[in-house]
Amino acid sequence: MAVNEHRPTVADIKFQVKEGSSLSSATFIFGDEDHTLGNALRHVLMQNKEVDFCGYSVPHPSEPKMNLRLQTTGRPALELLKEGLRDLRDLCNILEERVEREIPDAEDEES
Amino acid sequence: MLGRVTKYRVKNDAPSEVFEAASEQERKDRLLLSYAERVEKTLDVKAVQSGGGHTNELVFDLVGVDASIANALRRILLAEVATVAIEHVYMFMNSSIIHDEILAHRLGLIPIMANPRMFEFVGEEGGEQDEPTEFNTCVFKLEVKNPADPADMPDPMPTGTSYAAGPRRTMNVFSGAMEWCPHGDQVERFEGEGGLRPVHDDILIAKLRPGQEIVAEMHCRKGIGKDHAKFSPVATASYRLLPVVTLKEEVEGQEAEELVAKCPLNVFDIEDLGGAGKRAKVARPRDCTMCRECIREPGWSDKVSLSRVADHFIFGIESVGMLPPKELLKDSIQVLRQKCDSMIAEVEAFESGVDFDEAMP
Repeated sequence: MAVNEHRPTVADIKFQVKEGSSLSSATFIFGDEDHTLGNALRHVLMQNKEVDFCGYSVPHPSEPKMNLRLQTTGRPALELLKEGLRDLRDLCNILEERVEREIPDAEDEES
Repeated sequence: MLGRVTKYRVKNDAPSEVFEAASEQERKDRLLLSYAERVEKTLDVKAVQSGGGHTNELVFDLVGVDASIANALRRILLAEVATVAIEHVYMFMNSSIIHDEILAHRLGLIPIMANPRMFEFVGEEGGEQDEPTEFNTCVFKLEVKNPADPADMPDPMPTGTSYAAGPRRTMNVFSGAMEWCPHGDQVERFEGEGGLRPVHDDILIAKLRPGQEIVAEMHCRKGIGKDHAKFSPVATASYRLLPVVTLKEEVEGQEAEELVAKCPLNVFDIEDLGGAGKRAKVARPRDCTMCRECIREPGWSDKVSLSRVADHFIFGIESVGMLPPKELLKDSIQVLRQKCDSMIAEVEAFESGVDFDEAMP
């Protein structure tokens, strides 16, 4: 017998722009994402001085969806979203390199 | 350090923000940098000597990032770093007092010492790749019997079993009784790791009275904590802000003694000033839990100030044991980066598929 019959729901669309969005202010719908990416991405985007407003929400906890509202000072929101994702990726790279350098391996710790 | 938001001061009852802002020039300089350059400057990771020194525990300082990044790592560690756990239990015989479904659930929660990187995910149910293979599944079997006649009990008792205390000859079945059944080339593949086994040999699975028996086969697969907590690779992953405890004025003599006695976590020490008496000093601010006991009595809040550094996280990871905590941390960063990469790909696919200008009214 299966120990675990329940499976988490999977979103059918991974990325989508909500209707009613304009070029410089848009709401993006991320499938299969939650606060993990939402809040981190929101923070990174807010560091960009071309971003006027950025906020995220998870409309319902049982739906695998995350909404991100992005209003810019002029440039297309989609472009800044991509920049934000790249910035977050850069942060991961820097963090990984620091972790690799600064934190001793388990074997070292034992000795 | 370049323009960091540094202080988050705990005032009387509710915390209120007090920012020690960077100088105007620093802020201007900062805006000229790209995000990555700014992170390069502020980010700092330092290993902290953990008290226990246990290899499954890691405490480190994560400095210069926002809480949202620290929280993303914590959430990923709990729910999205993959491990291997028992998913299917085939019960051939179970005459023990534990019901089949309860036993299956107990077995599922036993941590399995298997490197998740050596396994593939099993595809979705009904999909093409949902067949178990030697690359996505490993098999354990559990075959234990408490003979009705004590004379039939082999000596020594089978691995992972023992008699419970007392004269009743009740048999304990521990996780050590689980036996790995390698399939295909698994023997060679897992040779370096000493084969697959439960992380702990002393987890009590069931108790058997004389004559009772359990025969079961367990199939393990790779999964993530979001699906079921048994896949979570950490016991806990948590962070807290670095406390800053300062004495606003000299606390001397009798008062110093009082202050040291007040603190339940022993944050303060007494400095002997030779002939001039005693003075309190903050010796272990890291141990402070912000219990506020030291400033509870009237007048003390003028002497002691409690605050925290807003971007200095003391991050703790306790691994269950299948991977060392440093590897888990690296995995979690990789998962976060993977999220970014796949989202960038999705956005680009969206861009090439739809003309954004036309799609918008």
